[in-house]
Amino acid sequence: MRRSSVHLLYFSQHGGWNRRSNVHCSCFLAQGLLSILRKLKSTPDQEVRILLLGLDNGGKTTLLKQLASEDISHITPTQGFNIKSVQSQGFKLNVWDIGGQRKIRPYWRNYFENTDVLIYVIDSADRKRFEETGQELAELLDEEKLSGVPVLIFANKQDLLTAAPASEIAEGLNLHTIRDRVWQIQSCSALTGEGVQDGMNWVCKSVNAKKK
Amino acid sequence: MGCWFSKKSKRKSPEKEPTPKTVEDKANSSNANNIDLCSNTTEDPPKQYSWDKREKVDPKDFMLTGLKNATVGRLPGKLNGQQFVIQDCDNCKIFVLDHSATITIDDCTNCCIVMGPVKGSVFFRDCKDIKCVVACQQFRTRDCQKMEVFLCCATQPIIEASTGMKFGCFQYYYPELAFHFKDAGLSIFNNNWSNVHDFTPVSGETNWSLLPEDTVVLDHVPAPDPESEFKSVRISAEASRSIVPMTKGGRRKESDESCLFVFFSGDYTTANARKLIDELSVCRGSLVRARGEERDGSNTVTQAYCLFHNKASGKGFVLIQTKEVSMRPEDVSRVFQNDAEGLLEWITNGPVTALELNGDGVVEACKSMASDMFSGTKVFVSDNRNTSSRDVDNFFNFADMQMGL
Repeated sequence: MRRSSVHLLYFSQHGGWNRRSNVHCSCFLAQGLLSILRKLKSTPDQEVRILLLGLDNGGKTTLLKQLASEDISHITPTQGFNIKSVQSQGFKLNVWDIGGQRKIRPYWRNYFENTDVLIYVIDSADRKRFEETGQELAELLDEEKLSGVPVLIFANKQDLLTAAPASEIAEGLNLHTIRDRVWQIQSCSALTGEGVQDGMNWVCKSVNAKKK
Repeated sequence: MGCWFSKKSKRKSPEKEPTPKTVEDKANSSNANNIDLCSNTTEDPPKQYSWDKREKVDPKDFMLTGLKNATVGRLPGKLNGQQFVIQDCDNCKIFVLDHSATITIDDCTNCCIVMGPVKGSVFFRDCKDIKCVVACQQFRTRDCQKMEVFLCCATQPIIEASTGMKFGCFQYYYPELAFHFKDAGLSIFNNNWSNVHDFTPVSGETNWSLLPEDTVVLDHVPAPDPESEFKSVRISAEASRSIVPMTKGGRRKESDESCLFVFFSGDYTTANARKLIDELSVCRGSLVRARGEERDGSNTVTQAYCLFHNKASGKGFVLIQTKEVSMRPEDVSRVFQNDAEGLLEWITNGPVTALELNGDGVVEACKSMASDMFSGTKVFVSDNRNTSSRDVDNFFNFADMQMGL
């Protein structure tokens, strides 16, 4: 801070210019700085908009509840959408979990705007629908309103016996051809929570990098 | 921040994208085009998760594929909470008599399927002419036609692009079934079988409906062939023996008078609730038929729902719905209102089990039940028929809210 602004701060706090010792001045200065810093931490810059998409029955809502540390033993198929705010690593994550039935996927585009990170959830044990989920993901990555948005692919349901490993899914989905954005694939079990935090760590890192 | 973008991702850096020599090593966070930020130059060894360390199994052991005209499935203890997959089966009788994690059924036609309690979802896709008995947390269909489902579902069942779907209340018994419900984390009192959500409704038509109340389950989903591997399992589909109490659900109520009966958590809650229901259900065939004739000559007794015959008034009572749900102190005052005092301490031990019973004179009948049979037990019973509807609404609206998201 320049000398003149320091004096200004001191003046406003105490309603008058006061020639105190240097040590005393810097204590008050520090207090003023601290309160400013506190305000900065809670500015909207630190809010992150996350869009949670994927086929129906993929585990999106279970993931959302897991992120919010809520009970996951009784979850109903999502008819519209769910939204939760979660604090994580200094960020406020606003997570939008949108229903994935085929009939309502056309509504996904209503939620694209201002998305900071896309999380795409795949049921790793539903091999019958790998092609379908790959298709939907490819279409999302083609969307203008999502261009450049970092994408985390959760290879979910790893707790199930027939679950394909993330590497197999990555190959099948040709993830290595993604050129226009940062991406990551992460195995997890939304039910047990394993792997979820690792994925979210990447999300926060990718947000940090983008906002620099 | 040049390291983020396409220049780096085009180049397959040896550290970042090693060729998967061993699937296990690279399985989990592989092939990202930028695992590390520019500032993070060290790469951690690939993380090992529980699924990397567990014994590998043959997925085929948990699948039924391409069978025709067969009686197949799994005996109790043979699945033990694992996933199960059924696909491309035709004209089969399938008995999955164990608890499982999740079951998907694809491209099956003309099959009868019994599914023991499923912890997660049951998902039918591209199936036709299926009759099944299912207990699960979520029930889903897509592109299915002509199904009859005897269902116990903890959440709202959903259908999509499906037609000719018919639903009835779960009605089944085999000796281990009660344990399987526990293992799957399902409550026999949480059954939303009759309120189905259709993602693709068609105006002027209904894609789903309720089965007639007098539907006999074994006529639709027959017991296993006595020569099959399931001959040792003592199966019953009688209403009186069903692990899941028969509920009228969304069918039109016959009387304006309902009663709320709540059991608070204790050692014998489930047994007590069942006892009350059994006392109300006089499904001992001939006895009820005789009483039906006494009343008005009509034989109204069926297997599908339970009647309580009150000798004095000569009327019948019906179980509409049940719920097992946890309550917090603030819920107690909202739900029980003037009667909340004294109940607060009872909700802390565990979930409450609530029943809605319907019929003329049901409130008085329930009150005498409470004092005759349950005098030492913590219960709440509606006090009078003028306020009992409000009790019922308050409780079940609360329960629905609690159990939605």
